[in-house]
Amino acid sequence: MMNYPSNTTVSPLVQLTDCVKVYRTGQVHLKALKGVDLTVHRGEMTAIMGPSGSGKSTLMHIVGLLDEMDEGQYILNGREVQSLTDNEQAQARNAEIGFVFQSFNLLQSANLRDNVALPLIYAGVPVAERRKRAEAMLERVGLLPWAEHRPGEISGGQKQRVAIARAMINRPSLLLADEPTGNLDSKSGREIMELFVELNKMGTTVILITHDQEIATYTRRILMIVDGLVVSDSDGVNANVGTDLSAEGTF
Amino acid sequence: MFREFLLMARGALRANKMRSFLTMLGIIVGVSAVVTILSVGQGARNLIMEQFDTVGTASSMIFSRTNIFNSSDAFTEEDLKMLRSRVPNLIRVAPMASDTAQMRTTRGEHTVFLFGIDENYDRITMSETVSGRLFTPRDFDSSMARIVLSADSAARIFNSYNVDGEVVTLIHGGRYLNATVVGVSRSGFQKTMTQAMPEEMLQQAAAIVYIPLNSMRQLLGSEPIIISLALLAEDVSDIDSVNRRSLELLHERHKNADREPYRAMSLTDVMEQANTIINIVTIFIVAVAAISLLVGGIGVMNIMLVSVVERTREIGLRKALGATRRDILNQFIIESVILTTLGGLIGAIVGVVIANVIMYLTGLKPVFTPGSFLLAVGFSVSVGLFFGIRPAMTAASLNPIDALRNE
Repeated sequence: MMNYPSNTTVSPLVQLTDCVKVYRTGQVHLKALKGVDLTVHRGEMTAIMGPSGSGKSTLMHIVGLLDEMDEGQYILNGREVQSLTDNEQAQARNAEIGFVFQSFNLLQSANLRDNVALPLIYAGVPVAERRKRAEAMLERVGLLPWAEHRPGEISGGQKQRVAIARAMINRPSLLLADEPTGNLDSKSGREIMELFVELNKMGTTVILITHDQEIATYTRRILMIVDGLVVSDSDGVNANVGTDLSAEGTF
Repeated sequence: MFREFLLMARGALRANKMRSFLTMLGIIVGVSAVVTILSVGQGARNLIMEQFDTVGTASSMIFSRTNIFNSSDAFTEEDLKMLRSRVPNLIRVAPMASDTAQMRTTRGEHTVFLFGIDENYDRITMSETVSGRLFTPRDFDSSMARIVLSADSAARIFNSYNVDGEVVTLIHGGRYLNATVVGVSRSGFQKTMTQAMPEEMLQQAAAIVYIPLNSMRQLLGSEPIIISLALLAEDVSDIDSVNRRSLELLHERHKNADREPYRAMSLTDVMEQANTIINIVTIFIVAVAAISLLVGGIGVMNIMLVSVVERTREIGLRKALGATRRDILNQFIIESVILTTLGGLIGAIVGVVIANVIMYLTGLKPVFTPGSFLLAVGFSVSVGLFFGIRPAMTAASLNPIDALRNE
């Protein structure tokens, strides 16, 4: 899974072209994304910013294979993914993508180790190995002593670290975080952001959705979305991609 | 993967212990009712079969309907002679006189039901000795009165079967007769006789006492009135023809065919009657239990649907982390099947306990029918599957986005 043919290692991890998403409720058709192009290369750390209702969450859902787009093309890790079946998409989510949510989404009835190990169940990993890997991940986020505890017994910042451990346990190529600091105080928020930076330095591609300017400063690339369109893309790493995208985004 | 689903289900059911239990309750009630009634029914049936075996299948009884009985209907020695000579395939016939009396014992005074019999009686009814002995030919001629008690009577009056040697005093119409208990007997015929006895006599009488006709005559000071006859046919297949022919001849001889005061009852009839009653009761209770299981199943479905709504976020999360539709479907079906299976097992255990209590109280022998156990548990598994599919499909078809958005 982690050994890519040499020609795909140079291709972008996320290549989304002309993405259109329309929400239909009865007679009302709401165009949430009006033709967004997004290219993210391996090792990038990108913040997608925008006011509420701008379509940034919709974009993340599409990138995370949680939602279908109406038009456009999506190539994830060299593979065209929008035509995959439900099961194949579930497998792709399991293998390629780690999710971190604003409200943590930990299972209250399970202890931290089982929460972290959850994606491995669907990857078909045997129980002993699940346990070992979950404990290793908990150790990396500094919560191994809490392995037997339940989410209700730890703080918000700690919960988000557990969620990050869970997102990272299946060694995804892409980490998607939707307002990961939204429910945290500023100190915990900074700690979580530092964790993302560290993971990024170790090679994980990270996409953050946020409306918080300060959070965005942790990333090298900031993508602004307004009203379903990319209006700016400041890319400190890859100038070509940045120029390209901002040109189309402001179109 | 199955193991994971089991663990998930366990976690979910534990998280809501009270609710899980209440959901299971319908299944528990249904299954325990089925298991109880099937094993008690089987116990009762076995008891009847046992009596049937001890009695000898070819015996039957002709008795008088006491509500329309008058003295000219009483059987006579001539009747017996006629039956012996004119009814084909009739091997043996015994007169049975009956009356009530007071019996004074070391345990107090009781109203008893007297059965005056001759030496043919025990051979027709194939009575068994519970303790002591049955009558010998000498007892029927002796001037010393000897009696045999039915097992139930001995137990009721003396709290014991070992009462041979007890001396009692029988009192009837101001006349007294001292008698010695020689034994305690049991036979399926006793049940048949009690069916033929008038209700008010049964209620008064604490005991059934067998007494030789000769001694009964001594006690009454007059000829005992023979109101019933015990018959033994050559073979089971002859019972019906023997009964029919005997009734014909008796009605003809007493010129009372218009009133038909006599009735014949064979042990097979009694058994069939009892079996029919047991079957009707069984079917009725199983039907009620089936409805209870159905209602229980609907309860399971209801709770599972509530649970799916409550756990929308969890389902969304699992899908986001890589669970397929089938994973979610399996998780919820297994949860519902575990709920009903657990209910079924608890119900089966409760049923066995209740059956044992009932049997202990009624004196039946407990019968465990693995078939009913399997049926009940198998049925509850199916209920879980059937009623779990709909909520599980709802869960599986949830869109992960909608599920996660649900704040």
